[in-house]
Amino acid sequence: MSNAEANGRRPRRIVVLLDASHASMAALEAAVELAAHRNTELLAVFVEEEELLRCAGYPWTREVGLSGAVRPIETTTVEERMRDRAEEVRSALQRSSQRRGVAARLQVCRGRVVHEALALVGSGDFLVLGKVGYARCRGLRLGSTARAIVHGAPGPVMVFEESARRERARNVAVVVAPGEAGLTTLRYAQALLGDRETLSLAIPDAPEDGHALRQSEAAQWLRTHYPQARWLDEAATDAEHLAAALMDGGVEKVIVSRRSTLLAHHGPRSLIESIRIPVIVTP
Amino acid sequence: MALPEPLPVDRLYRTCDPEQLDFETTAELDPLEAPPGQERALEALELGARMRAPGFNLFVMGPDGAGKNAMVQRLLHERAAQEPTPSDWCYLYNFDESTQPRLLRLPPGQGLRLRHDLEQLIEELRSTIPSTFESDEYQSRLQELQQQLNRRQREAFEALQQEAEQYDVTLLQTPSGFTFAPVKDGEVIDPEKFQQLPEDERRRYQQAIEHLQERLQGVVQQIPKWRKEIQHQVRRLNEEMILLAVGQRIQELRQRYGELPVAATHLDAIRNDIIENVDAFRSGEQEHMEYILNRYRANLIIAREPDEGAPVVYEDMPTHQRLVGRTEHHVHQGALLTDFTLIRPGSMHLANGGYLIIDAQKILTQPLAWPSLKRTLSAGEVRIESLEQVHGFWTTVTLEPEPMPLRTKVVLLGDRMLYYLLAAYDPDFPELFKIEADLEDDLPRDDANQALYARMIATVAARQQLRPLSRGAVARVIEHSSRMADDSERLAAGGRAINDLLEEANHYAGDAQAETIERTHIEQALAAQERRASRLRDRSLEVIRRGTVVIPTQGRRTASVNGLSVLQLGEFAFGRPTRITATARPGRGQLVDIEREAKLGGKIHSKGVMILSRYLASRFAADRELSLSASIAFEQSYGGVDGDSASVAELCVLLSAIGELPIDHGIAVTGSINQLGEVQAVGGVNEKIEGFFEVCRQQELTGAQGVALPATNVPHLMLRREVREAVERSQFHIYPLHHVDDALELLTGYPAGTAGEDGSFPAGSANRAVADRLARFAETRRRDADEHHGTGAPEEEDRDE
Repeated sequence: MSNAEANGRRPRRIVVLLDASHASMAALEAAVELAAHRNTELLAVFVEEEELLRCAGYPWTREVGLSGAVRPIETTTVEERMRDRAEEVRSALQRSSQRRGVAARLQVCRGRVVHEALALVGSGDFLVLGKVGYARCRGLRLGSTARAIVHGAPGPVMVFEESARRERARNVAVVVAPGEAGLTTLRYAQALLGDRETLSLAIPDAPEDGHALRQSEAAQWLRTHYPQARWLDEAATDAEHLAAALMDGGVEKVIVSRRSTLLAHHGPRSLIESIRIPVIVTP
Repeated sequence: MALPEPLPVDRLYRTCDPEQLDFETTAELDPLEAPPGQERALEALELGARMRAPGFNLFVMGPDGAGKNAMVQRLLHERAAQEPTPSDWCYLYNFDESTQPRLLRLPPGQGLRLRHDLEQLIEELRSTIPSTFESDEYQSRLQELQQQLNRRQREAFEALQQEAEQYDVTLLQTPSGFTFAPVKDGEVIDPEKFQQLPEDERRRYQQAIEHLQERLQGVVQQIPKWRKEIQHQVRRLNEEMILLAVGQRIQELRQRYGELPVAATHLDAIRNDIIENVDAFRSGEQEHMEYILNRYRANLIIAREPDEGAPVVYEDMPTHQRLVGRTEHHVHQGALLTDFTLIRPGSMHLANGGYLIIDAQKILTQPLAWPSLKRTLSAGEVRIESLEQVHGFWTTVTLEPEPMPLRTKVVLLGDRMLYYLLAAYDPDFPELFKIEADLEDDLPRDDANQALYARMIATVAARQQLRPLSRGAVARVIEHSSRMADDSERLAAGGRAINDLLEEANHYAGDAQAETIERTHIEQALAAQERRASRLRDRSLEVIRRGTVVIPTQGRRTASVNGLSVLQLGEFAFGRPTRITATARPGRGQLVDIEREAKLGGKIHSKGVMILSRYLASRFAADRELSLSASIAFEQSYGGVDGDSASVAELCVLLSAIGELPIDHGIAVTGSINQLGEVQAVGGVNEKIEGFFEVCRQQELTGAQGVALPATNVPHLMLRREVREAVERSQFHIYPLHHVDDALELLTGYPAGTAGEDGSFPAGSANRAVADRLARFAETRRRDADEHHGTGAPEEEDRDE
């Protein structure tokens, strides 16, 4: 691969989507790290949900709390809360970016989260968001918002989840499809690797075609660039099994193409939900 | 009346003829089971040890050094060895109430086994449980349950969302809950536009939203229930895994200790506790896990061998804590922490099922130990509490271990005074110590007892691993024992003095490389004992020799006599002559006891003086006033005197002063008198005689010197060899006295004289001289009274009157 090719896939800007939840704050930290490592600009986006404001405009709207308590909501209260949270996000961003010396900017916009976020990012942007935001109390690990963004973003998206493990050399797994697509994913992966990160595990995207895959150009590329990387033997048909295999392999991050069969097979929600480490979805 | 005859030498000492002892050395003698002459006390001990009813504890009384402790320990050890071994006891953690550790009783020998089994169980738990929870099986099943909960919630919300969509309504999430909003073309309708909708539609939306809100409420309220259900299932999973890991082991232990309900309950509690604390095991937090495991241990406070018999414990420091046990504390960051493993047993626990021997004086001098002992005995259980807890000085939460039921026989050792004081002043005492074992101080000296005594000496020698004693040595010990008893017809009951004597003699025998302890070694030991203790006696003799203390031992003097006193210093007593003087002049029948006036005389001494003054009055002024003012004093006595053993001497010196009769100072007198003038026995005669003998010897033995003593004291004589030899050579004499007149004749050299029918004494008698002088005093007083009457001057009174 030529340097130009790699540079073409190297993100020019990091965009992080924030909602002041715990998960999004963790994602912010990761985004700041990425920006610092790559010496790129960081754009933080906070969306004031218009739908919520509209909803609060109805005099008969009620909010059902997590305790089951029902209380009225008003536009003024909702707006106030949104301002507070934006402020919270602003100060967190300032704190983190100053510490790492990252040029950061917060954009507050009003509208629908997916729409606004997708409108802001281009193909050169690396979008980072927290895995569990609002969805937590609904028993979801990945909200509909995140799902829509993963699907719709033009560039790579990282669904971040805080990992308990902190090792010096961080292992990254990549899902490799046969043919040209696999090579593209690998190149993307190389471009997206962070500080001290290395590709250590290759997951065949089409397990039934494993043998052919290992003879492919992608495999050749992997051997050349990351000779220590090994192939995952067993067919990772089940998302849970895949998660366990990643755990055993000491993997801290997974890179998968949006077009991969694996993602299509399990559905982004199921796969990303099951894997409890950050997942980067490449175009 | 004839002068008293001096005693022949064989009345001064009762020898023990070695030929009468039918053995060569004590090695041939069988040891004695019980000390001789103590049948009464032994019977009481036996009864006390056998009686199991509460309150039948023992008080063994006898003088200090009588060997009570050794004797009681020996007897009880012999007895206890035949008795069944009492239980083992351990404290266990109380899972229901951690501050009240539970007590477990186990058959003897089982305690160590249980402790070992529990240690092993803990060891297994430490490794098995974390690995069980790390296993793939557990992890995936736990995850499954978690996902089940997630799925349930997700499905509920999705169903709700779908239902909402049917009504053109969407579910929105707010930062603190959920709400519904009407939707058109995939967007929430602006409230202004909503108002423009037909009323029917608006109402439809509103109704739908209200309905959905109710449904949402229902779903949200379900969530904690689902979570609880899942938690319950997780608990069941944990239980299942634990049973898989250690259930078998716990079941085995349960079968082994199934007969003990407390042990079975404890094992069940351990199982439940592990399930309860799964998170601690799973977290792998070592400190927390150890804390939990520590609670499964057994604190074995009493462990016995199955056939060791009942315990006999001597508590040499009977403080409250050492009796009832204590709870120790760890200092952790400045705070005091404790748990059931820090419970320590007291001697009451250790002696449970057996015997506890305590020195009465020691327990009475330890703060609050005596009330604790009584409370424990009354309650029949040992409660481990600190004094601070008992008396409420300490209110911090601490352990209250389950009390141990008590079946201990307490044996108190003490002297008689303590026993009688306790019996008189402590109302609980007779309730708790119903058996008294009173040790004899001495036993009659007859042939049978001498033989027994020899066996006792043999027993002591064997027990203390001394050389055997030759029969000559035994005979000497028997003689010394009589001397210790202060009676030639009795033997001291043994005890420390005899043991020490034998030990010391054995040492000398060792120095002399002798195979057996011979008479000479006994003599050597006795002499050494005396020499060690006799510094004050020698000082006393020295001050007499130098004339600092004036004790004339020759010649005759009026109004002065040598009396005898005994000084007791620790174990050692010695006699010392004391010069007693008197004055006499006309007066109104007063006898001034200078010792009493100076508050140096005791009550018994005062009584003696009063008796002799009444004797004097009734004898010489039976039917008229006694015209006498007299005084008596102990010369150069500064330390106080008590006892009535100087009464005879005091009477003699008084008669000497009145009758102006010189007294022979070569003869010292001892003895008390009654109002009839009869001489009565006193104590310490041997020491008194020897004391005067020494004084005479260091000045000069004239052959006319001696001691007069009550005839009733003659059987008590066990005089040392030097005195006996002097008597044998007629250098010293011992005179027995029956009546004060005997003393008067002996001391003055005049016949005492018996009053005739007219009440007058024969001319030339001592009593006549006294009577005449008293008559002259009376005449003088009468004349003086007449003169004063004539002049009108007041009658002269004695200043001391």
